[in-house]
Amino acid sequence: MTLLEVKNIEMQYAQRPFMFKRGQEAPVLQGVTFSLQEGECLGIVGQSGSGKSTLGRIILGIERPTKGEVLFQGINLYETTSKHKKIIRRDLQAVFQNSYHSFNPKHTIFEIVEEPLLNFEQFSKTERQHKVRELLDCVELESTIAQKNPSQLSGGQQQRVNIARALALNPKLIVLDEAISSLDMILQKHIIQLLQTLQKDMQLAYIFISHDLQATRYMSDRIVVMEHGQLVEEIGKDEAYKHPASLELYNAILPSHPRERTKKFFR
Amino acid sequence: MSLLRKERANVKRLFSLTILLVIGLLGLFAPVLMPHDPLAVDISKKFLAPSWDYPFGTDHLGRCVFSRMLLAIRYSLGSALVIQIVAILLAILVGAFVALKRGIVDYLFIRICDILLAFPTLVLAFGLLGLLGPSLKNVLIALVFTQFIYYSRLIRGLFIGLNEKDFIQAARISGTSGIKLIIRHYIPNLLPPIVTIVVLDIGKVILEIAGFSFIGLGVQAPIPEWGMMVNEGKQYIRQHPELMLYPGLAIVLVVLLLNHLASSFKKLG
Repeated sequence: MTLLEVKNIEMQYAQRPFMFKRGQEAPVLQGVTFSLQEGECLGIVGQSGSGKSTLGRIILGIERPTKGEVLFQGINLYETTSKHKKIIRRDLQAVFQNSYHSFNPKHTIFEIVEEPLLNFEQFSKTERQHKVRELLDCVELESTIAQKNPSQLSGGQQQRVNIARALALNPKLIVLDEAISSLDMILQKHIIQLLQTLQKDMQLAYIFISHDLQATRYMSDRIVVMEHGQLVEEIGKDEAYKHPASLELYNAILPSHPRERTKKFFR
Repeated sequence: MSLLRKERANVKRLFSLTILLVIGLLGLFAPVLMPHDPLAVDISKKFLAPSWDYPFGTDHLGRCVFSRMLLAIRYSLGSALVIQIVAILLAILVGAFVALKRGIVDYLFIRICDILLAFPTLVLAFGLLGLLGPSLKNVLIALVFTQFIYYSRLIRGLFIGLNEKDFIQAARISGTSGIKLIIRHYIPNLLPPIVTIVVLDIGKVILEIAGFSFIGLGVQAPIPEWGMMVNEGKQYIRQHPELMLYPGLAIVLVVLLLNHLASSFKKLG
């Protein structure tokens, strides 16, 4: 079943909010259309500034697009009553790139993971504590870190806490906006594996936004490539890239064994 | 932040806080502590020198200066405190509203603030007092208004600075919105600058109240207030300079201590 439909999204930032409108800037997004099935993982790749993150924010309902509509389970995100919006909010969660900055520095890990529960569930304090412990266990963290501050955690732990918070409400879709890009290779692998197990266990759909082609290919069922705010190519899991923009990205991947190339050079 | 500097700021804060607290308590318990009725006129006892009975002597109407000084704490420090608290609470409400709303509301708000802030606060307060008439209540209204404009603009700026922060976005995605978002995320992270500026400005407000009273626009006789007492003492500055000195020094002391306290808050961050 179709979970998310994005139709003809256009995004333009106006120079001034109200009076003295100057010429409009070049559009950040133009005619972006795609759909996502339940339990699917869609990769979105593109260079910096191609509009990936803006698209992510529009899907999340944080930023209103200039034109076009986002349908989540058939409901238009930007034309609903606040009651409907609250229901959508439960099913639509996110993990951002900078894990540390996604936490209120004044809160403990417990308070951070508990926040969605406070907003949506009528749990008692002990029930919340139990649920938070369960969530931390879910992302392979010890429950003892619950009383720590975000700054006392390592990058990998922080990103796990972010994932735990996103999972708290049993969402249907998680937008992963460069969620693993700031982690080292080994951690990236761990987090990807964790995300994949969670996807299987909880029938999650992901939108995996990244500039990392290899990780995206590993994660996604389908990949779309963006350039200058437009979708230029859509390929399946095992298809090859064809569009020049995709090939440029593909060719920019550093070889895993650079020495072999030096040998060739001397030959 | 080195430990030593933090420690020094701590000592500084403790020092000024203690003295201010003592002054505050003196004002709070003034009715119990006053040796004489501060309003009781007795011309036969005018310009008495300090004695055990009258610790600071008496003024031109034979009133006990010490009792008047104690009661005046309520009118100077007390009303400055009230002004600051009311102004900052209103400012947080309005500033937060426009910062979260943005758009045309925010735009109009900023323009109105710009126009009002173009006048020095004292001139603005003068204008308001001219409209409302001189009395303590109207001084409070005028100063709350001028402080409020200044603060709501400041708070708006601080809030907008946080608007785009990842953790605010993450909180929104977690379903936190409106007043909960403000209380749980904005305020705790903005408390240090807000507290610093509010404490710092208490001194400024005390000076303004005293200034209004001095020129006769504020507290009306016979209620004692430091600025008012300076005004009353100025006619006898040659014969009895101490009548101006007591309230004058009290103002200087309190304002300096408040500045000291605010700067220690700033250093603690």
